[in-house]
Amino acid sequence: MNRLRFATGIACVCTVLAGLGVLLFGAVLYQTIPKGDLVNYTIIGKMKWLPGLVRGLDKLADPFYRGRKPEETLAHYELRIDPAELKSVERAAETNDDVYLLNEGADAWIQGELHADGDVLPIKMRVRGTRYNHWRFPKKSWRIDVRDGKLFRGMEEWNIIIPEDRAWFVDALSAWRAKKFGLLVAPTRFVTVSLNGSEPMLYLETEHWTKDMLEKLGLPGDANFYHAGEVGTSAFNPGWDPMGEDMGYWKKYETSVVSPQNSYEELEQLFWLLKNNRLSMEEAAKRVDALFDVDELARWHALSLLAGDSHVGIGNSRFFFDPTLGKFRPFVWDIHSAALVSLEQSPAYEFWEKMLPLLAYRERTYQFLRDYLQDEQIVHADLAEAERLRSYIERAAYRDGRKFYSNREVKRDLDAKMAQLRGNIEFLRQELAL
Amino acid sequence: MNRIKVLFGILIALLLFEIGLSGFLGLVFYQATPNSVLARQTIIGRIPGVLGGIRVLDRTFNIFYWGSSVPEELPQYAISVAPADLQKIEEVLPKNVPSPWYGNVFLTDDAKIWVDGVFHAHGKEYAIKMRVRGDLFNHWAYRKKSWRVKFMDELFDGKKEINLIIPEDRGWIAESLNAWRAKQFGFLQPPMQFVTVSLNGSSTMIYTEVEHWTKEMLEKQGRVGDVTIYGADGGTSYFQQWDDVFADSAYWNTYEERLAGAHASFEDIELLRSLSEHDAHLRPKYHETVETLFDVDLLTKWYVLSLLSGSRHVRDHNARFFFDTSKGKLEPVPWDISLYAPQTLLALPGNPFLNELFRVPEWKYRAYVFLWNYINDEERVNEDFAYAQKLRSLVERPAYRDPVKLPSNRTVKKELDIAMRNIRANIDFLKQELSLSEILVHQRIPSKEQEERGLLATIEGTVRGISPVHFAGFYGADDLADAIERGEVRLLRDNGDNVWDNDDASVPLALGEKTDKKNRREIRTTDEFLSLMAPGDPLIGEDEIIKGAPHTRYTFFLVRIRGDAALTDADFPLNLRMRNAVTGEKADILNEILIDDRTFEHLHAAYRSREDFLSRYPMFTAGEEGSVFLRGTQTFFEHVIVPSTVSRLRILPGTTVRMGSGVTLLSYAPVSVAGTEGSPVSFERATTHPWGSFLVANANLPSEVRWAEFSGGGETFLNGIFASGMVAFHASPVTIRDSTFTDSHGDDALNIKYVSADLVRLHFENSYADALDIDSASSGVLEDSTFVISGDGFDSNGDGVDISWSNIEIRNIQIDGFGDKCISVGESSTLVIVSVTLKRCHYGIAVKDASHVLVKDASFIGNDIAIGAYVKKSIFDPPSIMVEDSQFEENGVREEEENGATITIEP
Repeated sequence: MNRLRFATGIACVCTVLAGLGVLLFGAVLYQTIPKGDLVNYTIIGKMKWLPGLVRGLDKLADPFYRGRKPEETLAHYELRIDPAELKSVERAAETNDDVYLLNEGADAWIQGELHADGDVLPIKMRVRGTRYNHWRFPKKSWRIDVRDGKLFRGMEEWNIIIPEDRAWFVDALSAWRAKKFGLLVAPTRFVTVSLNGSEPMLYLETEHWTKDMLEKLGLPGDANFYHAGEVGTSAFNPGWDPMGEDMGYWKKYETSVVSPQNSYEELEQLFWLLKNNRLSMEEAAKRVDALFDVDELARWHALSLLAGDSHVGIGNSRFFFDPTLGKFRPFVWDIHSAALVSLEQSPAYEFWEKMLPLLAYRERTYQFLRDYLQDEQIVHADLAEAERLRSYIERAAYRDGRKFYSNREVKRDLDAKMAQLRGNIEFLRQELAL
Repeated sequence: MNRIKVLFGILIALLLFEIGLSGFLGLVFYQATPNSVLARQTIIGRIPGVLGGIRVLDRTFNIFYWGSSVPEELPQYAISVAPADLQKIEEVLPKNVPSPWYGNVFLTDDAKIWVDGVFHAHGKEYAIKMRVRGDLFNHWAYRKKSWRVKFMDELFDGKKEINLIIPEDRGWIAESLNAWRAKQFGFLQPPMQFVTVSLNGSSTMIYTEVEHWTKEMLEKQGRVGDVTIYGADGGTSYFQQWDDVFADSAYWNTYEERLAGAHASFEDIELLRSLSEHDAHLRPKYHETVETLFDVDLLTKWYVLSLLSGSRHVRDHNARFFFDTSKGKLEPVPWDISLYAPQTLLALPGNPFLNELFRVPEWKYRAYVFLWNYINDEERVNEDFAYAQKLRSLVERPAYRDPVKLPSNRTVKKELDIAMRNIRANIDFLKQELSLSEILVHQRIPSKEQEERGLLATIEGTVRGISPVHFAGFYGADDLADAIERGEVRLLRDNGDNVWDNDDASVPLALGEKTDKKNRREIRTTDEFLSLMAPGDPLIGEDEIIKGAPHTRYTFFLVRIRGDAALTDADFPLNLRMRNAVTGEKADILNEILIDDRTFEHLHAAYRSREDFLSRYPMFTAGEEGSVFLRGTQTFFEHVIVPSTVSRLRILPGTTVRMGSGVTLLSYAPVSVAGTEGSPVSFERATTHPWGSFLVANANLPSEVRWAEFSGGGETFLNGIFASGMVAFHASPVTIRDSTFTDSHGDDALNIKYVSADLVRLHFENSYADALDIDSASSGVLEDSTFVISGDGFDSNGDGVDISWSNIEIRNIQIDGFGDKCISVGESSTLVIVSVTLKRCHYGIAVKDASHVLVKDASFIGNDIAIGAYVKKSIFDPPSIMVEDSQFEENGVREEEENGATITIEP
């Protein structure tokens, strides 16, 4: 009896010590070995079920997250599409190991119907988005196209994007700011969507870059609308095309009817600026003045800085060339947020240095920001809008059972984004000596 | 009792789980940590016997490896050396890295001591001297060493000196295969074979025997013996392991020295070194010098030999050359090429000389063509594989039976398998690589000024590789083809300055037999080098890692030398023929875009200084505070662009501006057109053709137009701005009073955009389409104006007033005789219309697309439809119109509403 007790005591001590040792060893390994190496070189990478298990455990706590009740109700619609075609697309997407969507089967159009407010519209839809987060997991981003010449809320083609890819509410806040700053932005809103009877999923809806979208904004629809950001054009770049290297990597969403040819000389002017080591600073400034509204660029810059200057640059560029003005007009698009730590070392500083080559031009940005940030009422409205957008989506995000992230991660992200927004405002106030 | 037992059981289970978990974590740690780090930088390497134990364990399985039987018996040698001498050799071998700049333990000169011995072969004995050889420790730090053997009294099989090299250092079969290929390519190669050697009665050891660089070796192969053989080495300088022979000729060694020439001098090597300097290939006479000093054909084969083995091992220290005095040429001797897994051809060849050499497009092209032909010659490739297999079967069993070697039989087999796999993989990979030939194409339509000089088109190709692109030709209309045949049009290859000038080379053209879908005739380039576009250097990161494929731009100009050949808009884009120069297949055109240099031909004029403007247009006069003014009668036959640097353009009373065909006056500065009732300002045509536009764009300060008469203009497309108005103000606020707009030929007689409307007492007459077009006016007024179509037989299908995206008021206007609408309101506009007479139009008022209009006191007379309301663009909501206190006389239909639009008429 005593020996058994003694052995039990020894076993207890050993178990505790071994447990501590294993925990310590595990923690050290986790902290020292790069995650990529863990996945690529160790047995962990072969345990395909492990991330799912960890995620499943993480999601156990999901029911405890509720979020505030939003003051407004999110718009909702239902998509009913051919389950067999959906399955086929899902299978193709799952088997694609690439970071970028390159396999053909995964971007096939699926026929279906959209049910909203008692109306039924014929649609076709396909997965959209370049990086895997848009299409590898059960909840995907989609492009929806209404068929038979019909429209949905005046739209023929639009995207529903997983909101985590757009930093939850940050992109929508940027769109709100953009409108306030007089910048161009595609119509954007949050919606919930049911797919073949699923529970509502939260999405960010943005109208696609079409002639109709331009005309609704009061812009000429038959104009050149340039965009960068394709992938895999060259065998040497399976990822993003090297957009800054050659105009041949750029495409148009819409084409001008007033120029004699479907040509790219406008873009070449922009390239001269972006590669401004070819131009003197003064020459570059003159060209910027001739080809852009410098104040508009400064406001775009300000918007970018407020969001931490992340995700703005050539890769996310959408440039509309207004033939009535002979000038480019940027569309605000996919502005993420990051904590701004320095004006001169911000992520997109090089881009802005080229677009606003004179210090005097950049000073317009800073002055705009000073005016914006020293007005407490404006700042209050800005943060209130961020809070409104957050509360608008938070509960829907928590209740979205098909999203990739756990509610713990969603909350952490939302908190982090709010903190970044506030932090950036404070940082800019300090930097701009307010 | 039971509870304690249960607790004990649980604790034991937990403990076992923890042991399992720690085993799992140990495995993860092992997999994530490189073995070399484990061995050198962790405690594992310091635990006595661990590494040795692993090696012994590995060797335990040696007996299970047999290999196939050897097809022919290998030569067997026995060497006897006094054990004390061997001990002496062992003692002086380096144990430490010679300097902190070196990466390895290195064989320094003081360790190269020769000892006497006896060499037994073919039943005969030879007196020899021998020493260890090989720079790196793997040749001599272990029991089995590489040796240099010198025959003292008589030659052995005609050999004066041989090397016995541990075969694993030469990739087992790799070097023998490379030597065999090299001989087929016509290179000098030292004879090489596998042999077995017994040292002082030891077990037989497998070696690669290579005859040393001696006069005898050369002469046996029919080469001149008294020549200099240059070789590179290492260990000379404290500061680097391998001698940087391309930095200084003094690093080179000689194995044999030639008799010709007064001294053992290095002038040929000095020339080689200068040809290896960066960008030497751009120097004048580079090609000629290389062709004089080398057989370029052989150099390309040298590169090909490396590529077949995936090799970049043609490094500085592996360079061997001999100067063939009979030919006066320096000849490379491929050496220590080894065999690697496939690597992209984008990588540079390996040493500065070859790197520079193959920056010359035509030589790179020649190498690739030779390579492509080689790897697609089934017979040849099969011979390669068969020879490699033969080498393997020669070496495999003796290697397994060699107990002195360092690697285990498991390692030997693994390395042989990898080598065999790499031989095949390299050939397959090279086929894939050479099939890749990417290009981005820009076609430029010349500016008017360039076209007048004779430039018909510019073609820019940006190539990325792997194979060069051959600009094989294009298809042209009959006129162009005939002009080319007559020698009136030429294709020029730009010399790199991006400017068409006399230094550009003419690419010969010939007419082909084919036609394209548009029935254009084939025009072929007939010089394969002048039409070649080869990729340049890739982006290279640290450790020569290829970070990206190049973007190498080539430019060709299609020019008219004489005659009147021309290309029209319909000729663009040209149908270009771009081929993979190596395979002959179509090149992969990633994208093909047009750049119309006409569009921004005058962009610089938008921001030039006022002084430059005045000097360019002396009819303008400098005014106060940075302004310029125009007066009198002036005639323009070319576009006039007033830059934004001018504070204001003033056109003085009584000025008459006569405009040539299509000519536009574009002002980026605000304007003051300051006519008076007695001396109006007039814009009229100078020819029978319409002029362009009077356009003010992006001028922030207000403009004004008073007492002006505009007639005979049309529209314009200039500096990227399209103006549909004979008179147009785009994003330029303006006040217009007491002015007339007649006989316009474009879409609008007057168009204002993105500014408030301030239009009073205007008269529009006989506009071809719309008379007044107001877009995006956030506020403003149009009043006291008349719009008439009065010319005999003049047929207008336009509107009197066309409003979109605006919020304005219209008061007291008369509109008469327009083919479409007297007033058209669309795109979310909101209007108040008071006291108007709308007469003899198709529609009196048409309200569309989310617009809302309130009409008071209007007279609708003789219109087909007095009021229409409908959705034209379905993206908009339905419109509405409220009409109050208005008269309707002799209209076909009073009201017509569609698509949910609302018309409300109240008395």
